Amino acid sequence: MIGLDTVLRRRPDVRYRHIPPETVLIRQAGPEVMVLNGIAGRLLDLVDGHTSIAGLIAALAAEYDAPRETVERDVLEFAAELLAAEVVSEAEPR
Amino acid sequence: MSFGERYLAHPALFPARLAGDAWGEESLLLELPGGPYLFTGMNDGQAAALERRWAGFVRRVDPAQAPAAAFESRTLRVGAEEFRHFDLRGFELTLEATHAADAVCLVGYEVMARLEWRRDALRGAVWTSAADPETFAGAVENYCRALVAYRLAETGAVLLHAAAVVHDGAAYLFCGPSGAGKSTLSRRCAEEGDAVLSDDLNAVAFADGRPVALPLPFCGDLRSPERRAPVPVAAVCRLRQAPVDLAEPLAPGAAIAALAACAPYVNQDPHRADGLLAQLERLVECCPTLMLSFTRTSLPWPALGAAKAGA
Repeated sequence: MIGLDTVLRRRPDVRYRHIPPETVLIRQAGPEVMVLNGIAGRLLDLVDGHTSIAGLIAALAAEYDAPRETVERDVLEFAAELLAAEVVSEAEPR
Repeated sequence: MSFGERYLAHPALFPARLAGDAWGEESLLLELPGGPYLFTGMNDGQAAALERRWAGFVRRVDPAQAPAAAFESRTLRVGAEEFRHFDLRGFELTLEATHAADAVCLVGYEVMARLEWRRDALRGAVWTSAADPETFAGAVENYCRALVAYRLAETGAVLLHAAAVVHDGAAYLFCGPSGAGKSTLSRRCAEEGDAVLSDDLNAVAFADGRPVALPLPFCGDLRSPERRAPVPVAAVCRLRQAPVDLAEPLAPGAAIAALAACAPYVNQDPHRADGLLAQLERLVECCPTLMLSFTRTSLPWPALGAAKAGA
């Protein structure tokens, strides 16, 4: 279950490229190709194996000048989808 | 299932070097984009089988007289006991791969291969137990398709799992996985007099900034051996069978995703996927990319013409 304290990292077989307004992602294990919207693509940039979901929300809220509750809902939703699609995984607790 | 378990008796013994016993002393020079490619170490029957399969693209050579720039691949013999043997009926043959920054290992039914980048030069070897010339040729072609995909990627081109049809002097590429309708559409176009470069695999490169289709000898059922010159690409279409004929523009992201899914071998390689996405972005920027819904009996030209008129 993803929460605000969860830390995510990109899986090593994932490559992506921003094609505004979208992001194209290849997960080599399939291979599987996905198209992410701009915010999900930016979220992928910020996932670094260190920053918590709360930190990602704060960064995106500042970047997009959007209400925190809206960003929080979107980020939790995107993060859950990326986790289910095996694009990211939960980082080991530090 | 880990790498090689499906096809190899002893996956841990996968060759670590480009070494082994050759089948014979015959060599072939395959003249394809990214090449030429020099295949050494075959016997006469095996070389003849590849000459038939790649007619128009290949010739026998003395290795000592091959172009210095040729990418050499050794064809090597291994015992049948190295491979697992099973009933192939209903089994989809695949080529599994593992990737490193300087090497790619491939394994399939009765074939294993290794590509190595040494001092930026690509070299390879393919091992098979298939003594029968036709089986041997099939195994070597499976390897060769991957080799060409990697060489094309290095030269800024891309190999696409696509049919290419030449209509009114321009090439139309129809992409999609097996079963999408590439061969069906190719056959319908051929019946109407259009040339089919290949109904399975085609290369796209850039000439003077514009995409061109480069004929390859790799096909499913159809190819036109007489057409060797690059052909300007008019459009790239992702195929989708549907009850109606309709061509719709793809957004850039969706277009690149559709093409990436149809760029075999390299799209599985985490060390080279960034370059692939960059090449596909370049292609999508300079070439119309469409989703083509088509009925199995129709020709694509009316729908493509309507899309062009509406653009």
